[in-house]
Amino acid sequence: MEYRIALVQLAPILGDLDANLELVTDRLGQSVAAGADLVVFPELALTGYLLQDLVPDVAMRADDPRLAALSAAAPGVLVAIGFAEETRAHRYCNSVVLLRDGELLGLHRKVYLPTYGLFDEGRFTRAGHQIRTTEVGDPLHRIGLSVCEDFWHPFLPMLQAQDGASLLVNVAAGPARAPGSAAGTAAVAGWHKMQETYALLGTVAVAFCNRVGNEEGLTFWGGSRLLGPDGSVLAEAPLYEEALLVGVLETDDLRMQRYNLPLVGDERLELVRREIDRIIAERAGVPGPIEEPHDGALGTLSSERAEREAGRA
Amino acid sequence: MTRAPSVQEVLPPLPVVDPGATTDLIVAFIRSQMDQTGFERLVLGLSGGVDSATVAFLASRAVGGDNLMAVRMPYRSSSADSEVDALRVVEALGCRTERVEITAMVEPMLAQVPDGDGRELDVRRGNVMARQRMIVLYDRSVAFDALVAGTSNKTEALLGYGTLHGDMAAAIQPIGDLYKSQLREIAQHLGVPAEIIAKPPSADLWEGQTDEGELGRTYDALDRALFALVDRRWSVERCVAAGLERDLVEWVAARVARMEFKRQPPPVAKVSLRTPGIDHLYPRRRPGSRR
Repeated sequence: MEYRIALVQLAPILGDLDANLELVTDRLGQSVAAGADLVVFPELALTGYLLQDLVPDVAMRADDPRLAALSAAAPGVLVAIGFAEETRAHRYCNSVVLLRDGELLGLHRKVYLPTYGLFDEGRFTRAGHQIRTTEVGDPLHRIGLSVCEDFWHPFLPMLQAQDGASLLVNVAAGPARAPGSAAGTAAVAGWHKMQETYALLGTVAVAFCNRVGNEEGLTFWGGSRLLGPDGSVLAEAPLYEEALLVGVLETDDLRMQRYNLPLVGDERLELVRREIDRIIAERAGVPGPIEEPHDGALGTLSSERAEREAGRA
Repeated sequence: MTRAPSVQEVLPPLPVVDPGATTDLIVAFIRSQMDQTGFERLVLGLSGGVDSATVAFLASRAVGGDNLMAVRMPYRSSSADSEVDALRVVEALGCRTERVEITAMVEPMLAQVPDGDGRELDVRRGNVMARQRMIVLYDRSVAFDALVAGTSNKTEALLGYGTLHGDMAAAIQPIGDLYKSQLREIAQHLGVPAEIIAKPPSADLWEGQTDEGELGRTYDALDRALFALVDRRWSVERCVAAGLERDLVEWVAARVARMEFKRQPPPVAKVSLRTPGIDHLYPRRRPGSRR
């Protein structure tokens, strides 16, 4: 069946919650009128990006009635939106919520806060500690949420694919560098490559919603995209301009793609976990878990170890 | 026998720029800054050189010629050609213009405090002229209800080739992240008159002065060294190995470090719990900052 996804590529006003709520409400109405089943807004769409010490002034709880009211205004429609969150324990996070009919279905707190180069997020917000997916019912079943930099860490989208996601939603505030030059193009190309790769290897659809506009000296580049579960680009918004992109995902494609390319089903999570456990243990300087005796066919054991294991056998 | 590689093949590259995309970005930046500050107009000092001409073209695209005031501020020794070129820009853009000669403001200051001669006096005079122009621009900005658009480029900013609180003073810096060599391409793309792009860059502080003469290096060489050292974070040794002259690279690296003070607000002695610039950190444009 056809599933319509709206990516709202807008330019929030820095630090102005009320103005942004109004803007978002307006664009949500337009998206609903365009028949969207899911409407995605960018990272920190309600607050703007370069908040610095404004964070506590504009942060809200994930169960804030303003978020619920926004969602309730679009009955039956899923809404994903980025905002500055203050948790019950007063941790401040760069978060995205998934709502429907005023109900909070899912929440993701940005796990990887870029604090290098032009980024200083770790100075003002705290990292999330969970990588989960959200049950949304048929036909998508589960959605994996993430925020911008999270996508530069491939474990996250691959974990979400393993956790049953049919769609990965990444909300972003990507600033442009050296527009049009090889370096600038390479940054955008990096985003494109990763989206296509995650879609292909996770056999998941990918919705990437990046903001536009200017804050201080930064210009955000937009270019929001919707990709099918084979990595093909289904819809793409222009660079730098505000846009409301509506793309159609054919959910039957997901079904057949997963039969044709059963990568997710063939994944060996126990093996991956063992190796990850070993790497973590070795990094900490403690011996890894005892390995099962090697059959020697690959010849990778040291001779001393092979002798020891042969003796034990 | 193999042919010796030509100079172009050996030297580290000049920074490339996409004039169309960069122009669009800067115009959007200016519009956004106007919007966020609540101003509709810009004022700038128009010298007749390529930097201020380029900013005038960008500003005109962003706010329209009627909302742009280009102030010509010649000194008695300023080249007459400079003013001819400045007027070419005004004509091309249909922007507003005023002429405020600064000689009668600069001379009394220097006469009242006579100190130094020769090169030292030239430097003093250059600084007083730059700061006097800043006073004129900020004064006109009130009358014209405008923001002051800066005309400093990245090469100047990195080398500290400018006067603190003089030509470096501005509300926004549209071309502050563009090297001199990139600016020429932007200027061409915008339609800045060819005469302005072609002439040797000069601060026009005294007759016959050129930037390249005063800096002792060509902008081409400076930009190659700066691009390698700053943008690509190459070491001096790597720049030299790649074909740049050691003297040039060491001079540029030392100058970039020595001039750091011109690029940052002065340090504040922290005595309180929360100090502006240290741990009181806000975006410049935020709710309440709009006038």
